[in-house]
Amino acid sequence: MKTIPGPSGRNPSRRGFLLIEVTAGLFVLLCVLAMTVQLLAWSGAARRELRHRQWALHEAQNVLELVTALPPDALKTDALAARKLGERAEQALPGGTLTITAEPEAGEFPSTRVTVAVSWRGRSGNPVSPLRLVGWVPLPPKETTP
Amino acid sequence: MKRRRGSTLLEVIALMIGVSVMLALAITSIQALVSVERANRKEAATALRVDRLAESFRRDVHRAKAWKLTEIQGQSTLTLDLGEGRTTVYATTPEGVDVTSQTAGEAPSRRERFPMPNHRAALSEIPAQADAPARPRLTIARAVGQPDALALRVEPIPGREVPR
Repeated sequence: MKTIPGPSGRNPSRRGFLLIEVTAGLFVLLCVLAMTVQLLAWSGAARRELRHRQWALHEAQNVLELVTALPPDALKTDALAARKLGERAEQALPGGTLTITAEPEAGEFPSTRVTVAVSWRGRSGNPVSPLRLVGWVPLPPKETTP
Repeated sequence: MKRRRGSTLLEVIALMIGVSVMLALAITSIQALVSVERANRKEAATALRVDRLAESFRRDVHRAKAWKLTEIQGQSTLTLDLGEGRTTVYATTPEGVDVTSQTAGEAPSRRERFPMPNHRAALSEIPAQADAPARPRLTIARAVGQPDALALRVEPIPGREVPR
């Protein structure tokens, strides 16, 4: 049996031990690299999500301001359903949707409660839990019969 | 004939090549991680700054009884009239947006700068439409390479909260 010396010195009778060591090390490192790439992709997606959310928040605020400035009789859910996010939204918010609902609310000051909800396609391809803003439009006081 | 225990030169060279390949891969991935982390942190800070400017703009426009948009040498200026000689002026500068509030004839009661590094703020006007009044618009876009559609737009309606 021939004795081949290797750098480990421990097992001088095994041939090609060095190659196995280096290959194993490279393999481990490739696994770590794959995990790093995944982490980078996840990080980029999180950043994009933050940008989308900020854009959606400001658009929702704009829409809520416009809708709450309407006269109270224009606040019917079917009429409001016709409102869309605008052409810019297709680029800024993938799969962006706008939902406006108006409901009467009784109380000390009877008003119409308006909810503006913006949703879009998130990281996983499913709609994210919608961003909601709520505003109230007071109803004009009822006229008393003379 | 004795065989010395040790490594041949070729084995050592092969080992060094393998180790340097591993080191190169490791260093590259660490560099990428660090730069991404830095960019994320900068982006989060910028988002906060942008939101702060947008809130200030909305609040001030809500308080305005009248407004006027002027353009001087490529920089737009929005003058908000709060009544009784009080005005708040939003001016876009290369560094960001400067806000000044003052009563006519007195020193400014408020002067604030919203720095917008890497961003470009612009003021424009939305004409009145069937169901929407005319209002000023603040656009905040990334200065480099961002298409207009992605820019943030703040469009408050003036006079919503005029103090009586």
